Amino acid sequence: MQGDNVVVQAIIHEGRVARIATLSQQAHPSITPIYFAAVRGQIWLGTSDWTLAVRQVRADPRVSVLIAPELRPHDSRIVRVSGQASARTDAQAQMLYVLHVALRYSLNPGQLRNTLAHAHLIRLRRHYHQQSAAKGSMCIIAVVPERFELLP
Amino acid sequence: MSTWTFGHTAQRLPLREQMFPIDVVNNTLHLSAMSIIRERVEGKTMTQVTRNIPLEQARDLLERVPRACIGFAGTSGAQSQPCTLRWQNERYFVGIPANAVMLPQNGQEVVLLVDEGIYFFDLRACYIRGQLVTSEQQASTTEVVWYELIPLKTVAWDYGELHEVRDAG
Repeated sequence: MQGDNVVVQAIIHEGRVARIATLSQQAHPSITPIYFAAVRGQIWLGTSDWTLAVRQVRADPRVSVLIAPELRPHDSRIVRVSGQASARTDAQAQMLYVLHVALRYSLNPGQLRNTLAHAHLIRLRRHYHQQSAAKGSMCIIAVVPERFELLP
Repeated sequence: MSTWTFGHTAQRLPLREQMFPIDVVNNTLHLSAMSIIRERVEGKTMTQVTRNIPLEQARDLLERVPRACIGFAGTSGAQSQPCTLRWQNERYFVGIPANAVMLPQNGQEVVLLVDEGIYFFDLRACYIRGQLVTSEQQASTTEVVWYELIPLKTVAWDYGELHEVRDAG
């Protein structure tokens, strides 16, 4: 199945949390839910360079990503994307990713309502992100797809 | 050697400094300044913001199972697989479609992720690392292969429950 399949594209478009499976150098698995965006035919997941997912991608770039159409909760189909990942910390990738997620997440009415409903946690969220920034820099896990599968 | 909250160390005076008074004075002043800084730091409670919650607070995820998937080492790299979870009597039973491209091997290490949420403060999850063994309690069918996940490590998080904890330093 190709990435330009309309069903695959629709599911990726309606998805909001990608779950990326990675392996350590010793083949210990991990699976991490991360916000993502489809950028230039790739799947980009935004995280920090100190995280386990990034460390494992650097150890073994072969990853597997599940995307479900969360915006259509009654649709149980899932797309699995298998491919090669790299960890990008360049400014160009960061800017491009931030632009995509701003449109996809931050400026979304649902996200704004969610933030207002949890206004009492905004300060803690800011500190949480500052803690993360203190440990390292923003990192994009860029997945170049090799195979798309539509799972029932 | 003493360890600070920030991981700096205050060294005892080396033998040379102990024998030559001028260096002792300089080092003493240095140590005094460092002590003052240390006291000011340790006088203030250092906290950290965490998303982690006790697993008991996320029991509903294991009961409702909004989304569940496993990750494991496949023949061509990391493999992710949606799965069915039955959590019964504190035991984890994982069902995988029998026609899945790749099935975990009996005894293989896997991680199970049960999560929900789209918007930031709704994001919650249970994450269990363990060993997958063929289930004797749940009979596999022609459609589903059942395993039991023997947990080794379990964590849970909830961004809607961000809170401060004392920094372990």
